[in-house]
Amino acid sequence: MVGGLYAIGEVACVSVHGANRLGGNSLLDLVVFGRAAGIHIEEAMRQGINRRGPSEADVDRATARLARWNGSESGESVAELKRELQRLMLMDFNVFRSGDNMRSSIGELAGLRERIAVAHLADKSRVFNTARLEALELDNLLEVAEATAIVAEARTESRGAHARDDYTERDDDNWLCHSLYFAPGKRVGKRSVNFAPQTVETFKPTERSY
Amino acid sequence: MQISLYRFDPDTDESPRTDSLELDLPEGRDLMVLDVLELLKAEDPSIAYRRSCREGVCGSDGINMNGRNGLACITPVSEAAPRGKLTLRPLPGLPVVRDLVVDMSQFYRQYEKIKPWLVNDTAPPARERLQSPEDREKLNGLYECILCACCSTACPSFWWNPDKFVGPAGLLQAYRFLADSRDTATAERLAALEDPFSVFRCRGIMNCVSVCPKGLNPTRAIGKIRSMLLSQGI
Ligand code: SF4
Ligand code: SF4
Repeated sequence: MVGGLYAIGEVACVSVHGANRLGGNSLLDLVVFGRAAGIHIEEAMRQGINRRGPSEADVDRATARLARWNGSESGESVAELKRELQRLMLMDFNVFRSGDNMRSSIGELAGLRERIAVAHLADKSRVFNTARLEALELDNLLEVAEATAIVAEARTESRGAHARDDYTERDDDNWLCHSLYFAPGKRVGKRSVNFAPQTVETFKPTERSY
Repeated sequence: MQISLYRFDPDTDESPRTDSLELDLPEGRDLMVLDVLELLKAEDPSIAYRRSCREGVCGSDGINMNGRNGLACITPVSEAAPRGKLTLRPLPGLPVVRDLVVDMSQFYRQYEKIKPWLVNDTAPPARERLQSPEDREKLNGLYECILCACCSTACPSFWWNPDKFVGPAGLLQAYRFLADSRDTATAERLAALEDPFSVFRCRGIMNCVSVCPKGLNPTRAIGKIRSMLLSQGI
């Protein structure tokens, strides 16, 4: 937890829809948790928020990443590598998946990481540089893609809108949980789902009037 | 396809130039102008433009295509360039930051002026401020604006007085709150618009209506504001 940093919607991954991800899911997340976060922030501001700033090491890492792209003199283009990343994710980490394909593509993602680490940013302009933005975005996309891929392969079951042809059944004994991913070490963990009963007062039906 | 593209990077260029480019388009598909830009950018990453949702919802990629303002993501190449040559320039009338990216500050300042939020000084009810379906209907054709600036930057009156004339986008939103049954600041809103410039610089040229990618009609909204002002007897 980082004090003062709020996340809502899909990045927060509260999983109101479980293993489903249908069109419109994100809206409910935004509306419900956006409101809750707003109320919480207002309250926290009144009481004095406990904000944590970045550490020296955080800043060093961020500037090193920027300096890496700014100092690049040759190498593959961002557009090329992004196309490749898109192709891998679309082919092997779609709704229907197989273990073999996922494992081979996870290997390719690791190779892509090495290529991105020496890729080239041609445009070094300091004015509205969208090429630099896309280069930094590519770093981020790779992180998210790898997390998605490794967790998808680790979860040996089919559930909701996730179908594996090597594990076609839902496996509640082992996988009735959230998947967690730890980027250092590319480790997968589990977190139990909160099933504590929540009670909500029902609305009394009344006539709609204005 | 032949493309003529406006280029300017103040970091390296003395003055703007126009690049003549050639691009092979895939056979049998009518691309959107944004797809063309993406193909060009894959070749030359230094081409700068704004874009985000790529489906006409976010309003980021308003540009001028063959003389006409619109959203690059929902304008088919065949429509923008029926004679085969595509000319891409930044929205007119605003300062260029780089290539197709303009500085929108002036546009936003006008939007801010009209106080684009609900003002209601009565105590809020426990749940929400209700509105009848009929009153809600009055906001149709107003609330859908995505602030792409295609209209204001197509308006000659806005070109001449971008600091004093609110412009079609701002005025459409001004009327959106004037028309809202829940808003109680009608008199103050009208008072802020009664000078000779804010509204009355509109000359009914209707460029705004012809370019709006959401099919909205700022001229009509401006007409309604005028009649509200006139019936107040100023
Ligand atoms: S109708 Fe008014 S606001 Fe619209 S383009 Fe013409 S002068 Fe501008
Ligand atoms: S009225 Fe239309 S053209 Fe003008 S800013 Fe709104 S959506 Fe864009």
